[in-house]
Amino acid sequence: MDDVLSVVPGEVREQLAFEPSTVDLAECFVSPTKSDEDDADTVDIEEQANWTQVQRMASSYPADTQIVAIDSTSFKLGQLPEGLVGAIRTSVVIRPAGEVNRHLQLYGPYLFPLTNQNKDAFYTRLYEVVHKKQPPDRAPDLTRILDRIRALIERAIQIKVMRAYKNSLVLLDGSLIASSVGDPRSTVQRLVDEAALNQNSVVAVSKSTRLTLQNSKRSITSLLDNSTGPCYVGGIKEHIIQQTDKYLGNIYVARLASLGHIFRIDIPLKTSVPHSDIFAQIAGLAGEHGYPEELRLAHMTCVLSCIEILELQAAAMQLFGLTMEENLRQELFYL
Amino acid sequence: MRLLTKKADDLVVVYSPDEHVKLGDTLFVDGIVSQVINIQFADVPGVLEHVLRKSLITESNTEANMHPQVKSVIDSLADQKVAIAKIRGRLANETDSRGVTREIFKSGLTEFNVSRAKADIKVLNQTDLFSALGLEAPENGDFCKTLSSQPKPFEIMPEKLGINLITGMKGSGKSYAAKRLLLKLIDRGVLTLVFDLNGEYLNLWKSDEENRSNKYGSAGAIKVYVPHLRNATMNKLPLKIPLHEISSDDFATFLNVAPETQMYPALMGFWNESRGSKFDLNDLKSYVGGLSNSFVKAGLEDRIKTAEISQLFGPNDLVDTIKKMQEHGGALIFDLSRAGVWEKSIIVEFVLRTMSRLGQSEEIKPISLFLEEAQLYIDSPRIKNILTRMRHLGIFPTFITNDPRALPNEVYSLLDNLVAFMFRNEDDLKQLAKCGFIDYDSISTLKHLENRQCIAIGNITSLYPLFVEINPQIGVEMGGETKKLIS
Repeated sequence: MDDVLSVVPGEVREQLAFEPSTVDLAECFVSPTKSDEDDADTVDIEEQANWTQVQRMASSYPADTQIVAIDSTSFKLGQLPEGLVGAIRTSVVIRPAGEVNRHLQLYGPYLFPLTNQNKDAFYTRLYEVVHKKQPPDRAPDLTRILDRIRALIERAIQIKVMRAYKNSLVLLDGSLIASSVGDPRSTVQRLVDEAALNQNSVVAVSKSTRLTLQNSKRSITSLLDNSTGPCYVGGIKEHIIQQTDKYLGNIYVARLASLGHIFRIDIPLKTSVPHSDIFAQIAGLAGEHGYPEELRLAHMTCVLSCIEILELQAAAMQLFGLTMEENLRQELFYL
Repeated sequence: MRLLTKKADDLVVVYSPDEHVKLGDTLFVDGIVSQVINIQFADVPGVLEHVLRKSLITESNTEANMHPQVKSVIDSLADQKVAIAKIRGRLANETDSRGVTREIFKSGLTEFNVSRAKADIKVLNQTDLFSALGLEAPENGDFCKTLSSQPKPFEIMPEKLGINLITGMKGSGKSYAAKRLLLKLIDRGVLTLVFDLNGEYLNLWKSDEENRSNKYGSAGAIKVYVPHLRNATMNKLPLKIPLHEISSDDFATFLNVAPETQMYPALMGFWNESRGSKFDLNDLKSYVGGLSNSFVKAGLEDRIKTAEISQLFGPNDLVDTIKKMQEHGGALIFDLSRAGVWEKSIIVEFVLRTMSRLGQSEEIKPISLFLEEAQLYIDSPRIKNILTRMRHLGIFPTFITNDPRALPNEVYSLLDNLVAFMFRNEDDLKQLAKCGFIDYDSISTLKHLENRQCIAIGNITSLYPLFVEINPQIGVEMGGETKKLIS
């Protein structure tokens, strides 16, 4: 992570006014939705025609397989006159093979003072570190920059994990999709290749997807609406009408537990373990709501609690020499 | 530190983990003097969820990579504390007759012009506090030190002792403190009489385990009166009670002479005949020898023999000893640990009567009286007598007990000083609050104190509760004669 962190801007103009984001302590945790760079593609499958393709899965807890789950979060801590201060944290939860206890690696919270003046230079340097090439475009605007940086850092950590661990089941939050701007195909391919090299099985789990069925215009997760129990439908990628180069794995829709939610699951085409066995393993990891437990822990440990946000706001002011500016609206209309 | 709120007479102050506040510290909030009586975590909404989330994976299995400056701030909010400080009063400037102006402590608070945002809050320096309270605190004082963030030596001034109570649950350090106070009184030339119920004070004349010199023992400042002792040895003196000092009924009770027997009126007859004179067992023996009823005669002769063997009756040098020891101060300890119930009461009765007589005739200087668990050998009316009468005779009682509820309420209403050690029982704490010096919330902090830590309040502290810790005594064997099952 040192190479990634070396490009983080450490300073902003001294004494910049900082308007902290409002935090409602009653909310306990703040978990902003990650932006979806996934294009809204269409799948030409008829719902009724797919009943025969639904596969049942037998749950098998992978006690002798190492499980690694990765998730990240970002939060805008506050506003600068021409920018913002953001915080990003990534969690890596590891359950070693044959063990019950989980280990946690936390990366961050890292604080980023981003302004219109420094964001392009920073983004370019970070992009180069992660993707090993120049970004095709300038940094996104301030409303989207923080989430883009989060995605870059998460991707860098995912690649690091693929290199560091072997024979593991690696659970990612999201999909195996390359984006034209933020996440080039070469990087996602590198991630898949590094995983294959170390005999890691990569499983990307999406809670939502913008892939929709051609006729009904409903999400592809509706393919399992009429099925019961742990099951999945595969071969979706082959039915995508638009260009499919950006999809680097097989796309499935799966319910991992009897009463669980339905998720989109991406698995690279070539894996050392058959996909049916991978489904059995992740069904074995699924908790009450059908979401893999290690991935749930990775999410829960990376999201920032409201208490942490208040602490980070204080840390940001100290670290970057900012001065507090009360919210004018709140000051005027405090009731 | 920030002022969060005021609830009744409590100030609630929030402070960060970098700031240090201790139980008993005095907070100075824009002129208001308040004392910390409780410390707890700030009840931040969402903290339960925050902590629960952190407990999902154990700390030892977690590796956190973050900027050191961020790391130092993380958890600082969850670790914010609140100090609940009881308002004691305020500091005000007062000019004395010489025109010298100084800050003095005034209890009570009639106005509250404090800003939450701008209030200047600090832990009041103990030297400034003592100065405002008018307390003398010799820098070389070794009796105790305050429990505050900046401990300061504190001495109990004998001049300010009156009716005193040293109390605390068993093992809390109350007897240790009482013994240290006793030695301090000796240092100041005061004579103290001690009713030692459990043999706690018997070794005070000995050197400690490291055999350091015990100035009290070598100077003969500590003497122990022991009942049933045949001959005086070292610091021990036989405790004998002149027969004329007790009633015929006391004597009959001691020797199991029932009132319905004919021996009882015979004893009454002797006492009536001898009234006004100083008589002893020999006089009684002669009287019994002259009785005509042979059964009564034989019975009483047996009883007299028993009384002789007990070594409890005979001429006593108590008055002379008191007068002699008063010259330089000292401690006269009455060892009640091996005395029977009846013996205890007649010994105490005899000593109190002797002191009362000496006090009335102004033959002695004021003396101090330590009563360990007085309720076990003095009945309630006699305790009240000690409280109301003795002080006028120059006898200053210090009650020492682990059962404050056993003492009559008059002790609390007339109390001059309270030194209270740890109690956990709510009823005991409520009883202590009856003294009126200190509120129940403040006295409840005793629950949190450690061994030898206490709250001292009364004339000795200018009525301001001081949280103090008793220092160890050098050179003196402070342990009593308690036997251990396995040593």
